[in-house]
Amino acid sequence: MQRDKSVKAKEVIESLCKLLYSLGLECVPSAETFRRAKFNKGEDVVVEFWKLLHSVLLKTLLLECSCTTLSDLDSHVREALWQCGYGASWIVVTTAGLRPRSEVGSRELLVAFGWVLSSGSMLEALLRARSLELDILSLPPTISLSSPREGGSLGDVDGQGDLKEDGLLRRLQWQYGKLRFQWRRLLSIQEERARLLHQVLSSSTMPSTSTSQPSSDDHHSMCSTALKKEVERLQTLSQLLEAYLEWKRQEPLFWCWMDSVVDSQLSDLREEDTVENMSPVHQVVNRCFPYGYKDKEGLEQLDNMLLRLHTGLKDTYTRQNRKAQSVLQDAEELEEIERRVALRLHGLAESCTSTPTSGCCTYRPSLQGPQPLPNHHQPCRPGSVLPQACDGAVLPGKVSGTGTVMVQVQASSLIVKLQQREDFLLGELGQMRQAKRGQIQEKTASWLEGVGVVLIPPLPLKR
Amino acid sequence: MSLLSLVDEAIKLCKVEETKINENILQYREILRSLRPQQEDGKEIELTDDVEKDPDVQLEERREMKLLNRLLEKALRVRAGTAPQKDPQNCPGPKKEPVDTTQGKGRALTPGGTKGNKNGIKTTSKPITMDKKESKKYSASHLSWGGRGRMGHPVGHSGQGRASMIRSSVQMQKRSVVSSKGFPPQSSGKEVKQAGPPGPVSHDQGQSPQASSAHHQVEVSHRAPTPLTKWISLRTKQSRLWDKVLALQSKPVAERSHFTERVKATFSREWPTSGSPADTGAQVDRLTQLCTDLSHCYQSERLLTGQTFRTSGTEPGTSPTRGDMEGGITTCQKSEYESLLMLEGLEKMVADLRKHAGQLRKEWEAWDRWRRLKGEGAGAFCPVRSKGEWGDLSGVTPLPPTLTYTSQAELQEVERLRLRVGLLQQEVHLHQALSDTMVMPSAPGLPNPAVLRDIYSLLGEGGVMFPTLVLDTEPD
Repeated sequence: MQRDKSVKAKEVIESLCKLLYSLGLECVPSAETFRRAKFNKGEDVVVEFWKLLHSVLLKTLLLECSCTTLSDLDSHVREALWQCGYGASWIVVTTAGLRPRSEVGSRELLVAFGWVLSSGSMLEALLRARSLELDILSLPPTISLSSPREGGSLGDVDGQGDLKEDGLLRRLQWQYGKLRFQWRRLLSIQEERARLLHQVLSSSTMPSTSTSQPSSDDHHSMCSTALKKEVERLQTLSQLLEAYLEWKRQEPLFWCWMDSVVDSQLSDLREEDTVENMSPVHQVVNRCFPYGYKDKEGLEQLDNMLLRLHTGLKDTYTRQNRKAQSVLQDAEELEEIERRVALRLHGLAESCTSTPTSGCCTYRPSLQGPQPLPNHHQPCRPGSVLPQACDGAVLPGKVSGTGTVMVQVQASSLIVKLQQREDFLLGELGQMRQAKRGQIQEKTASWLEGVGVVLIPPLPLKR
Repeated sequence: MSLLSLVDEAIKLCKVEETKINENILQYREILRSLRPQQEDGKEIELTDDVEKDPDVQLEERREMKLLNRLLEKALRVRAGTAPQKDPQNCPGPKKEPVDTTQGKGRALTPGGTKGNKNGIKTTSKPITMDKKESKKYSASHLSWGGRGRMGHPVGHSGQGRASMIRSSVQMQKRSVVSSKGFPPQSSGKEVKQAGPPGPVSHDQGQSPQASSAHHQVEVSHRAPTPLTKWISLRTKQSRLWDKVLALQSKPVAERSHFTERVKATFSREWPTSGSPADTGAQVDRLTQLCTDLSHCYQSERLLTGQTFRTSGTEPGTSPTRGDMEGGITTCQKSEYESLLMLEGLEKMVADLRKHAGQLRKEWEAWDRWRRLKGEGAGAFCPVRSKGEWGDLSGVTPLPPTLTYTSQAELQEVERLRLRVGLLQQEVHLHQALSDTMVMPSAPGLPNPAVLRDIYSLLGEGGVMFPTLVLDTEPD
């Protein structure tokens, strides 16, 4: 029975190692190393596990520095593990002091690795990244276009400087023009790519072509280098997917084995490590991490913005105003306006949640036959907009209680959603621009009159 | 100037995207080119066959078919007679999928054929029955060939060479004979083989070279399945695997959560129970973004309400005089009402946000207590940010879902909309940055009408159109 178990454990670990290797992780130790790590024996095992942890964490977190020496590795790994929420005694500074690297055993590293593997969906994320590389016939995400903005830095720029320096404004306009040109170009080549993609997909699904008489083998070999490359890529991808499926099949056993590791660790627990004794060292006020500070800054900025918004909103209107307004309106019109408003608010809330429904994630396109398949589409959020949506039910972080994952999406429903999103964005942009136009006109009206100049706004474009 | 750098960065991102798309286009073109020559070869052969034999084809065809049928029956007898216990499915020889597919669309076996595995071994049907079906369908299907005109598809080519079809069916049959190794009466097999080509192929004299070349081709195709077929089979295999993977990914694994719980139990009592610093950071970012959007929305709504108020000449909230009600509701009032509703909604959202932000702050403080002071080592200040995907607890699938579409237009529309949404998002961000940075100075400070013109166009029209500034020299 024991022998059986250990053999099974070895198989399971081997399948994990194979999967990790196919995912492109470096420094994957062998199954034997894993087993030895359980028993806390061997210096080389420790080193290997540090490296493994480092490479895993590199892939899953954005470590913004490059360090290769082992001592640096140590602090990075600890920091990264802390960022993942792992709280073992050797990571944190406790009243007992920080544990030096030499004392950290391989078993602890193994448990840490298990933690990283189990929290979130690390393997799936790695699989996704790797499959994006290998599968060129998938629709890549478009999220790359809108980089997250640095909220604070722009607000500090002196507006006056802009206006005074003519050249800068002109340059800005020029760059804007270039950007618009880029947009148009992107749209047109995107169309071309979609057309070619469809052709490739349709010829891959339909039974096709070659008669059994190759006219000349050389001709074939020349033309099909692209195909050969694609075939190789597909083979790698298939192997990867198979390794993943194999791993999923054996996963429960792995976790049982990890349980046993934790057992053996607990049995060896040192006196200082007991739960009661671990309490945080109260940090001194002078904080010296730039990024820690950045977090705090971010929070403060958020609070400030919210406060400003809140007070602004309070001052702007009162509820009685609205009531008075509503008396005047027709019931239908009222409803329509309310619906529009609800849509807009929903769109606003949706804009910051990073869900794939808005189409910005990656997809694997597959050409469907003429008959429609049964609809497996399970949306993460209700597809229809309810008027109550503006009551804050869709804030980030509270996304969906159901937590259903999307496996298959119909193009038609995605098109509808994307069109909604496009309309929303266009609407918002239009509102903002209109507001700005009015603002500029009002502010400069008196001055222009004084100077004797009339500003004639351009006629709106008929789309 | 940070505005310029923002626009530059946007241009750079677009260029990166462009290179990626161009790369993809090249790859697809190459793949299509690799597919085409094989199709074109086939077409050429068929065309030449057509040109030579068209007038007499009908008669000859019938003759050939009869011969073929006889041969097949003979083969069947031979097989059934000498090896009754042999399981036809043990035939190890690979069945050629392209040959199968040339036999006609109507066959139920075709889908099975294309979904064969990498080695192309067909185990879905008995070769004998297949041959039979072949022969039956062959007679039925050849009549319907004229109607098929599928683009770029040699099967649907109306001038399909019958001779080549026959040749290929003979090869099919030959292969089924050849591949059953250990077939005792090899001599009779060979007989069949040799009798095969002379009959159906053509009335030409050069039959042995034909036979040998056909045989050679058979062997060649045994050894090297074309990359194309391999690719097709790999793709179908891959989509199958993906379906399985997608189905599996969401299944919770009880042992895993058990392990996580146990490890958590070993942490300090004061350790926050869930989440992680990276998560909190990501949420703060998201909320900040939302807040920025909301504040811009708020500003524009406020401006609009003020503007409509000024244009309509009434206080918001006071009822207009009866005179205004003649034509029904004015658009001014509608937009005003809309703005007011929006502001109300915004207020609710802001209230929720504040609560959420309060929670986040508490979380952050809890994490902060545990933050390590790294005194030692040069690499002490290593910034870490989580790649939001994997730490996301909201059940969002990280694996790419399958997008099923029905036509090229649909795919193009999906792609266009995705890109458009991304670009619009970029535009909105830029506009927000612009309006944040370009603060309108007070009136006396405005030096230059040209500057005003530029600002108006950038902020008010997205840089697409410009207002006109005209000197008003007319005396009033």
